[in-house]
Amino acid sequence: MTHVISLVSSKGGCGKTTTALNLGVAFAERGRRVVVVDLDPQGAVGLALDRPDGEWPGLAEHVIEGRPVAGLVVETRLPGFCLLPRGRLDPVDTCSYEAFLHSSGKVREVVRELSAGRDYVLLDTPSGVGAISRAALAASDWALLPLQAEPLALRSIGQALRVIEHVSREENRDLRLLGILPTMVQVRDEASFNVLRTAWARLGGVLESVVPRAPVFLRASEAGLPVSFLAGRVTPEARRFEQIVIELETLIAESAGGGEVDERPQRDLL
Amino acid sequence: MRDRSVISSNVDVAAAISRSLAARRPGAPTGDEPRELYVRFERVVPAEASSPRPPAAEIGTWEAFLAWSLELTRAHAGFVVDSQGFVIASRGNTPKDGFEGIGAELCYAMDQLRRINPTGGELRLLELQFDANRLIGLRADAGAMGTILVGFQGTRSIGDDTRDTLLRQLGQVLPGLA
Repeated sequence: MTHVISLVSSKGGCGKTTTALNLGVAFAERGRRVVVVDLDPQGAVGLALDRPDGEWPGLAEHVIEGRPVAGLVVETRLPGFCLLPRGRLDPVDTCSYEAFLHSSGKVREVVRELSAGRDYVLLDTPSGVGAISRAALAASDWALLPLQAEPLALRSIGQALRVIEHVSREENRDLRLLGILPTMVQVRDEASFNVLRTAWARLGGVLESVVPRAPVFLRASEAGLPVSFLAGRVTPEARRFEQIVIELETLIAESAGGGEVDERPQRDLL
Repeated sequence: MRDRSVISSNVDVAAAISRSLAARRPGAPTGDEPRELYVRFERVVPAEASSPRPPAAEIGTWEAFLAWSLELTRAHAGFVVDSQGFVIASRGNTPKDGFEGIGAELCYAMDQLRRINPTGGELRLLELQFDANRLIGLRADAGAMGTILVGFQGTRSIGDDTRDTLLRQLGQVLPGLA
């Protein structure tokens, strides 16, 4: 069974694309077959990988020219991990593109096609809870919310949750909240740590795993690579997304009443 | 340590929704309708105020008609059923199993319901409100092809003006589509 996960947030700059890419890599490194779909008209996935804007054809070519989705998927050097880029969308056409994706059912069609033979489809959405995010949620099994550990993000997360609730009520009863993932956490900063503590104490569905604010993410962004692909010492952050993937797969398995959950019997030490 | 940096009421709303979502099982209803915190745009602006008016000549396929009518009705999905009960076109957030079952049942239901009012002529419009959504069926004569049923699935009702616009447009384009 394929799990379709939308990464959404009402606030920009919270790490959706970084999370989508690094999670996708982490899933693939555990042997899963994953595709990351760039639904952001800005083409954030390609930009995160330091590709020239408009280099890759992608979803836009499928929508505008009718090119088959299969021929637009970009295979990577990591087995099982591939991308469906935004495509060569003219920024001038962003409004029309958003409206079309929302009203046409195209996102659901594409997701259905990409799901064949894959374990995960990750939908990277634009910031805000507008038309494309709605279309993504309507086509998804799960919503994952990156929550930047700073006060404004915590104040606004209710808006994204409201939209998820509405879509799950009115448009897609299969949609569920997979989790709220704290990102850019600075445990030594009082304000950032307060946000984390408040989220854990007050919100439902907050993951135990967090993504810290760390220099390695800037280095990875500069190199146009996922963190685990950087040369040099393997940092804790490089393994962070492995932990997140384990937590997410455990949640998914538990929601289905079993599945592949890491379990072991109690052992005696002495 | 008291959190001085976050407005508590915003967090209260997020807390309530997130806890409800986190506890929900797949396919289960999401509970009571939430307290109205926001004014809804869709209730303020009538659909007719923003309805598209493409010339009939531009609609040459059922898909184009559905695309136009979905914008008009703001439904989530639309489908067309021929006189045999077969779905010949669909568009929008199509259910996993498609509209074949729904389309056939809607056709049959409208055939049966016209008997309620035998002197009322043909049953042209049926709106059904379910827990999960609203289903609308609109019938029109397609000449030699019999009747065509256009269905919509969404959350909004269609008013008289929208209904008349749909029927008028359908009447204009049907000879070319049938």
